[in-house]
Amino acid sequence: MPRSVLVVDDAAFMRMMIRDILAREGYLIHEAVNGRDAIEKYLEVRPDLVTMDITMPGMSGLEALQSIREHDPGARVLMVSAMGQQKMIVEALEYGAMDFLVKPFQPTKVLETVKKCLQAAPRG
Amino acid sequence: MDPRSLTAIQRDALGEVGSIGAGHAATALSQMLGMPVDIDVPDLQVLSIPEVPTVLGGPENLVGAVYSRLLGDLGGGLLFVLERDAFLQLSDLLRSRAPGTSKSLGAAEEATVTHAASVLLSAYLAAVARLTELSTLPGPPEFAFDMSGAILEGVTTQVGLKAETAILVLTRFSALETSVDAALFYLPDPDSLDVMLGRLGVL
Repeated sequence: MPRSVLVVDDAAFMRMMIRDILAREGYLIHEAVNGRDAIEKYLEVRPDLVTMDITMPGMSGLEALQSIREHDPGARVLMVSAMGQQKMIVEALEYGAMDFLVKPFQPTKVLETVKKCLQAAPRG
Repeated sequence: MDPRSLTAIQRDALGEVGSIGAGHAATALSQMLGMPVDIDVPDLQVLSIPEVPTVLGGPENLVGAVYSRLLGDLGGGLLFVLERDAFLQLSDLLRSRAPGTSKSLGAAEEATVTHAASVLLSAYLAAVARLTELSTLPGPPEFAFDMSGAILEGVTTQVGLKAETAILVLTRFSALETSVDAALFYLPDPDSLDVMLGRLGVL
């Protein structure tokens, strides 16, 4: 059974990039276009992992992260953002994110981090 | 390539280039200030060059601008534009002065903001370079305070920039009680735009 990943980003191009990297390795990909959509899709498909952008219109990735973790304290969420400031990273980890990838990224780094998040015990 | 002929995914890819660049520019500003800097969700636009002054309040609107020509694998230029008040606010923030201290645009304000803009443009460009796996550097920054139409004319005629397209990121940088609206443009020359789209896998 392939592991499923919900890719959340308001930019279609970025969703396409992450989808291509992960789909090639056999992951089953779902997509959401903003924070609110991410919560709905999460509850619908219950993916094994979420990759979450931060700066999105409507609801930010940090808000969506908190909401998803409230619904499911075992949710695995990997933040993927160009906003790589220390405060932002610490905040995301405090809210229960498993890791933080700074855009732009190398495909190998994405695969490595996704694998690591899926192997680790969920942050309950 | 005429910007009007760009496909939706090409526009989206160029917008994401701008968005990632803006995120890194905020990180650079945060490091410079030693405090967190937030950015609002950027307004990303891909424009033709003659449309640029219209998003800067019209061709007669007075703005401060810092321009850098690109060197290396990508050609074209980078332009960082602020309204006069935003320019003074950013200067106060960078000089650890209370907001509203600077009343006029003097040599100190010009030097402070030009230096900061140069760091922001470098951070932006470093992100673009990593995303496209190309090697590119900004040239020395040049400052101008003038009408937006005149600045654009200076960039396109005097400097000889051949760009037809402008990739624009309009965003608000916020730190402490100061918020500054800024416009950051990448003006790629036509060949570089094709190279970039090719590297992004959307040509």
